[in-house]
Amino acid sequence: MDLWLPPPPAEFRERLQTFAAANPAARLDGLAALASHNLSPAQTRLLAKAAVEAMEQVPADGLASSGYVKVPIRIMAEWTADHLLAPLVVAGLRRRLLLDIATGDYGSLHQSLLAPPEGQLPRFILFLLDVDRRLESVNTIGDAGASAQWVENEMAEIDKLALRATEHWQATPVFHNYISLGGNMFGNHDTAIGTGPAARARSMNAALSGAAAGGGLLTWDLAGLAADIGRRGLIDARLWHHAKMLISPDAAALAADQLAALLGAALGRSRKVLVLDLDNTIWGGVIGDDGIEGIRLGQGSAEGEAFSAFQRYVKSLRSRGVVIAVASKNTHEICTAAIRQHPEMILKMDDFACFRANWDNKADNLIDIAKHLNLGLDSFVFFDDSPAERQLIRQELPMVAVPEAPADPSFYIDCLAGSHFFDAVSLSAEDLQRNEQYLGNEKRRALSNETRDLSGFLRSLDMTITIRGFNGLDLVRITQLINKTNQFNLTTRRYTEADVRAFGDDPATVVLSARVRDKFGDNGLISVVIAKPVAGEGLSIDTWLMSCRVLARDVEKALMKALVDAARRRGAGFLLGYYAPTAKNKMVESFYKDQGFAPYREAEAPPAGATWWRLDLTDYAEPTIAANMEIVE
Amino acid sequence: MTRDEVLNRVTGLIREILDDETVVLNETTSAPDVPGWDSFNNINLMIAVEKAFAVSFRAHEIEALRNVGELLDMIERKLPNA
Repeated sequence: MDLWLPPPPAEFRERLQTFAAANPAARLDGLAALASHNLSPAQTRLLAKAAVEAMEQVPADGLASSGYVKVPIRIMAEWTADHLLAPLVVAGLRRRLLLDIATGDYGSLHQSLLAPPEGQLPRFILFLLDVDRRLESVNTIGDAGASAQWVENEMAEIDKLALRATEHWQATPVFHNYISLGGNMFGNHDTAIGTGPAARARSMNAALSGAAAGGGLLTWDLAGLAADIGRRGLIDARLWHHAKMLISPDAAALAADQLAALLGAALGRSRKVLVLDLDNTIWGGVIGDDGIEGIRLGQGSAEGEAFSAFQRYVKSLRSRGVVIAVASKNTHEICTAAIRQHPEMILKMDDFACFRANWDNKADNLIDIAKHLNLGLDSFVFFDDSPAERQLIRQELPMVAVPEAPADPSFYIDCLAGSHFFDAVSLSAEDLQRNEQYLGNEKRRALSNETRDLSGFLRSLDMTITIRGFNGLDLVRITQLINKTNQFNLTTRRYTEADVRAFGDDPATVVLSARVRDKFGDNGLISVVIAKPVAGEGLSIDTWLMSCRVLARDVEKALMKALVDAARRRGAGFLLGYYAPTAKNKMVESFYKDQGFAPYREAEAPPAGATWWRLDLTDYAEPTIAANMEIVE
Repeated sequence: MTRDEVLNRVTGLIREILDDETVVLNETTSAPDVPGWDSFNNINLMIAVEKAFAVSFRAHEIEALRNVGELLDMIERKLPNA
C-alpha cells in the first residue's frame, strides 16, 4: 500500500552515499528529500539507518536553526513493533521531526513505566496494547452490564498509564485505538445487538476519543486506517499469530506516516496553507483555451462531479482553519471571471487568502504568497496536477510539502486526506475564523495603502486590544499558540495544556493573553506572555509570542504595559527578557531593545547568540497605544 | 521458472533485506548460517517472497521450514504450472 508520494529516484543508493559527506544540516536536508518518496521496505531501512547516524552528528543546539526538532519517544509495547521503527523514523524525517526512539521491555508495561527514567525524558510515550488479548479476556455476550464494566476497567487502566506518563515522565501518552480481529459475533447488527468483542472495541474507542478530547492523551487512529485500507490489509492474522505483529509490514509505511502526523500535530508542526493550481486541479480543462462554458465542473460529467467534490473538500478544510491560496499559470482576469461567473463554482474569490494567477515561475509565486500571508514556506502544501510543476517546487522549495496528485481527480480527496499534512489535535474558535481574519487583513492592507502614516492607519482601524489574566476557557487556544508560533516567539518554548494550567494556577506566575478586534473583524486570541518570579523581586519573561497576523498593531506595547502593571502589583522592581534565536524568529531579535530593555548579559547556555535583557520598572516609559485597551482580570 | 531462477530471486530478496550483497544461498543454507537472518528478517523475507512470486503461505508452512531447499520446494509447489 502506497503513500501519496512519487516513486523513489533511480539513483537512491548513490544519493544516500552523497549526503554522507555533507555537513549535518545539509545531510538531513538531503535525507528528508529522499524520505518524501514511496520507498521499498529495504530502502526505508537504509534511509532510517542513515537518518539515525545523521541525527547523532547534529549538535544539540544546532538543530533549531536548521528547522529540525529532535523528539525523544519511548515505546512501551505488548506487541512486536520492530518493523515500524524504520518507517517511523522516515515518516518523521518527512516532517522534519528527528524521532529518537527508545523501546522498553516487551510486555512488561507497568514495570517499564515504574522504572525511574534515566537521562533525557521522552516527549511522547507510545503505548502499543495487545488489544486482541484484552478484548478476548472476557466473554460478555448478552450481558450489557459486564460489557460496560469491561470498558470502564480498561479505560481505568489507560487513565492510570496516561497519568503516570504525564506525571512521572512529563511525556504525552499516545494510545492506538482498539480493533477486534474476530469479534463480530452477529454480522450487520453487531453494534445494534452489542456486547460482543467488536462492539466493545467500538465503545472503547469512543471512550478513548473522549479522553483525547479532554487533552489527557493522543489517539493513533488505527481503526480509521483499517476502515480506509481494509482491516485485513492493516492486520495480517498470520503474522499476528506468528510474531505478534499487529501491523502488517505491508501497511507499516502508512501506519507510521499517520502516527508521525499525529506527533507532528501535537508539536504544532502541521501545515497551515494549501496552495492550489486551477486548471485540471479545481476544474477540468484549461480555462484559457476551453472558456467558462468548456471547463468541466459540476453535474453533467463524472469528471465534473469529481472536481466539485474536491472543491467541497477544500471548502471544508478552509472552514476548519486551513488557509487556501492559488498559484496558477493563467491570465488573472480570465480566472477570476470564471470563479465569479461559473454557476457550479463552489470555491469563491473570498475563500482564497491569496490569489496569484500570472505567468511567473510558480516557485516565485509561492515565495510571494508566503511573504504576503506572513507564514513560512514550511507550513505550505502545494497541490497541482502537473508533474512538472510539482517537480519544480520539490527542487526549488524543498520545505514545501508536495503530495503526488493522482491522475484521476476522483482520488484528489483521498490523496490530500491520506497525506495527513493538516492533522490537528484540537480545534479552537480562532481556527474557525482564520480565513475571515486573513481576508480582513487584505482589506486592512488596502486601507494602509491609502493611509500614509502608521499611527493614522492604526487609529483608523478602531482597534480594541483586550488583555486578560489566565482563564481556563482560553487553555486550548493558548496551548495551540504556544506550540505553533515560530516567528514572533522570543523563546520558542513549547508547553502542554497541563503545563499552561499549572502556570495559570500559580499566583506568582503571570499569564497574560491578548485579543484584538477592529472594524474589519475579530482576530481572536493572538498573543501570550508568561512571566515567572526570579530572585531579587523581579519577573523573568519565560514566553512572549504573538501571531504574525497582528504585526505592527501595537499589541506588544499594550501587553508590556499590562505586564509592567502586573509586575508592580506583585511588588517586582524589574523585568528580565530572554531571546533564544532559531531559524525563524529573527524578526524579534531586537524586540527587547525596542521595548526599552537594556542588554543584561550573554546567555551561558546554548543556543549560540541567545541574549538576556533587563528593564528596571522605574525606567519604564508608558507608550502611546493606537487602540482602546481593555484589561480583564 | 527453473529451480536455479527461483534460488536466484530468493537470494536477491534476502540480499536486499539484509543490505548485504555478499550473501550466497544454496539448498542446505538455513537462517542461522547467515548473519542478520533472524526471526524478524525471516518474516520480512516471507512477505517479500509472497510478493515476488505472487504466492501465499500458511502460518504453519512458514513455521515448518528448515532450510532454503524447503523454501524453494514450497515456492515451486505454489507456482502456477510448476
